[in-house]
Amino acid sequence: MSLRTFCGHRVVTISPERSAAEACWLMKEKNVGCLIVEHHGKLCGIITDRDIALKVTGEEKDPLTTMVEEIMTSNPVRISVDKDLPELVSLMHTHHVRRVPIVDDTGLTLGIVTLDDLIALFGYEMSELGNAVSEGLRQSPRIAGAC
Amino acid sequence: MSLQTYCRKPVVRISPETNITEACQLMKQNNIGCLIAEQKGKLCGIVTDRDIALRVTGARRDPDKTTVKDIMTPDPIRISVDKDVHHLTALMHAYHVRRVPIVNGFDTTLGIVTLDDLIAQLGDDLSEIGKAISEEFPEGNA
Repeated sequence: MSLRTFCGHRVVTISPERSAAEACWLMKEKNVGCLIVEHHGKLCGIITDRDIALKVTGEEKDPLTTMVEEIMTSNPVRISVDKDLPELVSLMHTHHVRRVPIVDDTGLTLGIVTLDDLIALFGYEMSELGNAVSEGLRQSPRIAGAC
Repeated sequence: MSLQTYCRKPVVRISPETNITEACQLMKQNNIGCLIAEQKGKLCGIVTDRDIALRVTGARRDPDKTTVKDIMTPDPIRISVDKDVHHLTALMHAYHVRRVPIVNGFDTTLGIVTLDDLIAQLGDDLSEIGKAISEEFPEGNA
């Protein structure tokens, strides 16, 4: 399966020079937990609701004067759209990340893929496999009997 | 298998009267995204890092003057420790929640189980099943 499958997902972007308060409003309005930070159209960071809670409110900083670039994860782990699923899983495992931006060869963000997306996909595949096995057993009494 | 065996992280409790600055510090110290609010030993709410970002920071409230009670989800979905994992997944599905406190008959929180905990266990189980199938049908004989 190509990573392009995940590129239709909404990516919400913000500039690194915006305030943490604006990042919050955007997360709320778009109902997302993470924003892609882009500078001149290129991926430069990622910021989550947790970053805001812990690095702004938790450190008693003013959300109106704290900039996204001060609290974002800079140069986040990313994956080229040409790679495949096993490479993505391995990347998530190695770097302990659950959200990975998908980029093209110019560094433009095409989408974002999360661990939840992968779990949902595997869940669906497992359910289909389960159905195939159940139907196989029903149609083949010999095999069912052998179990 | 008791629901408590799925829990991979400890429960961190907080009083609903505590302010948000302290709640943030507690989340950071314990490396968790959610706190259980208890009053007189009974579960009364749940508060997450996202609640703090959206309902305090984004709402321009003062974290020193805002309390857990002001922003928590009161009376959250919970599950009795006597139930099984099928009840739990049905509950998560029906209510669209990914964290469920496990309580005893007195409504005291015994643990918190997350969707990630269930996935981790399922992953281990599937891996064992995969190994069993591979051994049953060694390479070339499948």
